[in-house]
Amino acid sequence: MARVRRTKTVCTYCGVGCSFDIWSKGRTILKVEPSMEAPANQISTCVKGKFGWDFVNSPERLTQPLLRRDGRFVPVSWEEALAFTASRLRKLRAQYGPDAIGYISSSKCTNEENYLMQKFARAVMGTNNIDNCSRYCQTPATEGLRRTMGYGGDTGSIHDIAQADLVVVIGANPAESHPVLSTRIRRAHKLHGQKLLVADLRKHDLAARADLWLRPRPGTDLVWLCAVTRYLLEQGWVDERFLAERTTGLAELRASLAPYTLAYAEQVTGLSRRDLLRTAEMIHAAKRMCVLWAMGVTQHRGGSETSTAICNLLLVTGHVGRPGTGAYPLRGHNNVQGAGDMGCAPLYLPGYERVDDPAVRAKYERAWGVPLPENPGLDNHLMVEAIHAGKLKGLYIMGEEMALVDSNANHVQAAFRKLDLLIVQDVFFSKTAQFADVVLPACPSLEKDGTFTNTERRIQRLYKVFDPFGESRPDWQILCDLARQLGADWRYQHPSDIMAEIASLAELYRGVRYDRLEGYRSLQWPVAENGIDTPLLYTERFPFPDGRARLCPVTWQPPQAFAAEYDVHVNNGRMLEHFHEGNLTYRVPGIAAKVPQPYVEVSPELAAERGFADGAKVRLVSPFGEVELRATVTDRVQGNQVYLPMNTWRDHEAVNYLTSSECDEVTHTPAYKEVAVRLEVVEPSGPSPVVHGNFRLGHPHPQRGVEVERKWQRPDYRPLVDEPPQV
Amino acid sequence: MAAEQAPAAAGPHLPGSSAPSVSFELDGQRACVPAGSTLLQAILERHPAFPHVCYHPALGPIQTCDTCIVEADGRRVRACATPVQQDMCVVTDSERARAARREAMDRLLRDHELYCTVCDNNNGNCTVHNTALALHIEHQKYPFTPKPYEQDNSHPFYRYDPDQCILCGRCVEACQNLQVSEVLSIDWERERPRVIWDHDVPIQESSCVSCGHCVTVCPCNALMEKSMLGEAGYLTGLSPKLLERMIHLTKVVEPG
Repeated sequence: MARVRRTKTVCTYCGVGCSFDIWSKGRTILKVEPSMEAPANQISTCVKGKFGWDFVNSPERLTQPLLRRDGRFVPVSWEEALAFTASRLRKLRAQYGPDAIGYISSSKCTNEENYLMQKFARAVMGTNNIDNCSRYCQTPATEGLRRTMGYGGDTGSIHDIAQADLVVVIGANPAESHPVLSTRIRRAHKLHGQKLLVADLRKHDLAARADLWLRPRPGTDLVWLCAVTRYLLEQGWVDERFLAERTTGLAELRASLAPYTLAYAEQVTGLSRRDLLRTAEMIHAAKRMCVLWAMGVTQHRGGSETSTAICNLLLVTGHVGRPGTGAYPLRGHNNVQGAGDMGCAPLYLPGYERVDDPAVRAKYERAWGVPLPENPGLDNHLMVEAIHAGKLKGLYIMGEEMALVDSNANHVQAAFRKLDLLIVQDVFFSKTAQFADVVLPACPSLEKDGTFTNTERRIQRLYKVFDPFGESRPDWQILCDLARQLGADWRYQHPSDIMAEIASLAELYRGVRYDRLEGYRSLQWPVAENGIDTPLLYTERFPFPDGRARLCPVTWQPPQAFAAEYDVHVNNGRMLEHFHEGNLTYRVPGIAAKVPQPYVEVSPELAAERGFADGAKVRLVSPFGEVELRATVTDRVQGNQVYLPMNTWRDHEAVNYLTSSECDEVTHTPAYKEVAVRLEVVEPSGPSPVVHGNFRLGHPHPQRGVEVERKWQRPDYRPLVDEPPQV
Repeated sequence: MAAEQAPAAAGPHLPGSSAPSVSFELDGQRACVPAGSTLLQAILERHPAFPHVCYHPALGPIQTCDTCIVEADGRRVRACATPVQQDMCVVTDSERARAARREAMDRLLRDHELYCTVCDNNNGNCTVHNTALALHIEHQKYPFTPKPYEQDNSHPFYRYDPDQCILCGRCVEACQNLQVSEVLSIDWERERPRVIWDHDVPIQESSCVSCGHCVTVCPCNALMEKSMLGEAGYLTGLSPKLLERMIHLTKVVEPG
């Protein structure tokens, strides 16, 4: 027994932020044990958090730094790798200036590591060219919230979602992307009478269970949202007092909604008048409404506008700042919230303090002891374009499979080929690493201390379970090593030292201290100096000078049009078992056995029209590239809409060979969801890609519960109680 | 600091709503608890080791195990499912209540082969083991009889051993009403009931999403992570044959 260690960690996968004990013996994980102490999940887990950790001991882990020599990668010592990297960075900066190098931080890394990455970019290297993958997902949601309510984060907690009497889910598939969060909705819906309204192209788990499922045309959510908001205002089904006391801009909003009649919405979205009215009625009947949204909203050219429209709807109906209400832009990665919080974006220092505010810059200059760059930096989208334009010469990517997960992968990889210097820091030899000049072996979450911030703005500590594998090092140590090579006097001994510095600078994290986060304790930002945190935002005021939320008129951006030959719409996203490009989950044999590869979901009508069956091999050809993989025929999708999960590292399957470089105008988030292809049948039939062990082949058996009355009715049951049980 | 003690899964109670309280008599002393509390919740406040098997705070009362029976106003009731009422008189330690709890545990153990010494779940948090100790079970009234079912080892991550399953239904409740994938149920009408997946197929062929809730809430070793087997008990890593002999031996010396 003494050999078994129990160590608390926070899950490395999605943004729900499950925490649990890892039981380990040597380097073997015996089990993952969640408990009621865990603030986000209690005893809940999903397949990845409970069983998805074998990758930690994968023989494919990077164990030594690699340098490219004569077109081959050779293992070298850390000393050599760091000296090489530092000297190349120095040389590039001397030759082209600090803004010729870009830095990509990681939503898989800790807050402390993200903080160091942006500090490295700004204070050591002198540029604001720093970004992270929140640009790929929820930056438009952050934008919508910051415009209207002030903070770029979920307004409440998961238990608020459980307590709502109406949950609206738009362009999100929590059952697969945020599995544990989705359990709270299903439970409330099944047991406590919560109503569920889903707007999605695809019949995913929550759509199938919804009281009302809207299936609008792709990219038209803004229109029905505005039409319903307009209708609610017309009917007077709004929170007049909230509007009067806590918001500004109603007249402008009202005027801007004039074109959004129900008839117009019917015409654009394809939704029926009846469903639009039912939507308004359900919202009107709700005392506590939460709206959840994700990539189906944000990954469009109008992602920020639609996110803003959601915020307007919540404000008009007064569903903000009370328990059981609010806006929930579900964060995709375990620490994508934290990566943003830590200032890994061109415009923001930690805590979303603006780089272009001289007072803010002065504060950080005093603390860091160096002048800070004033030039606006490049985000990751602009970095790719700057490489193609010959302006960006070097790129340092920490924990991001950018070659596959950025949109228009062919374009991104062509850019990587043009770089003078590509530094890749990762746990595995990724596709991105193939383009690198130097590859630095990093540690996954189980091999380090630090903190993650989940979708609820909840900061939680993870404790080191294992020592680093091989010669790999935690990212924060690599950054410190590299900074010292470049002359910076970084002496952090432990991630807690870094958090102390963060708390001394970033207002949102002011009261965050490791001792306040011990074990399963957590804090939800903003955290005051005295440690008081904020599970529920905006209970009294919005963080604007007048304390009021701002209603913001929006404009609909129709989705991209494609030539007629591209007649199949490619919806894309996640599946439950795998995560992102799958570098972790395909290295879990049990998961890989259940879902060995991604597959494209095709509707029965499209399969019939094109003359192929389940198991067929199809080629999808967009104007930007092509993929080839097997299809499964399912009514989860309809008509000419197909669904392609992003979960693969194999080139011939990866959706981002199809996506374009189009993006949300405000945030530059790629329009991943605006993809059209030509579908070619390669083999009209074949083995189904949905294999034995895939839960989608099963047949659930819903019951009220354990149905103990059936036990009591057995002839051999003799009661031990004196009266019928009071249920 | 707003520590979040209230489990999100527990139900529609809003935090901050100042719940009224009720007072009642517990083993001769006055006790005061928030209105809506169950007797078991109230008792556990005072006696954290008070026996109960099927109740789990994330799941609520399931009422299958009968091991938490107490006397309330002179009647034997399941503490887990009985709301505390004002001035209720509750006795946990009466002869009748103790006998009922003891009988309930004996019934559970008919479905559970006791080989705790060599069990991989014997690492401090086995609810069945701990409850048997709390109830001072030294002699097993109903001998264990195997169920006519094979272990289900089809799933890559966990196994189900019907012979160890006490049919408490925690796993079913977790699957049906917390995870709500609605895969597991107990087929109560069989001669020997068991947990089934979907409409009784091997786990790997079912709609199980592998979330792990069932394994986490199992109060014994019926549902176990495969990675625990042979690794986590006091005497683990035994060969199957030796394990079988050890099980036989421990049954002679262990309770029961």
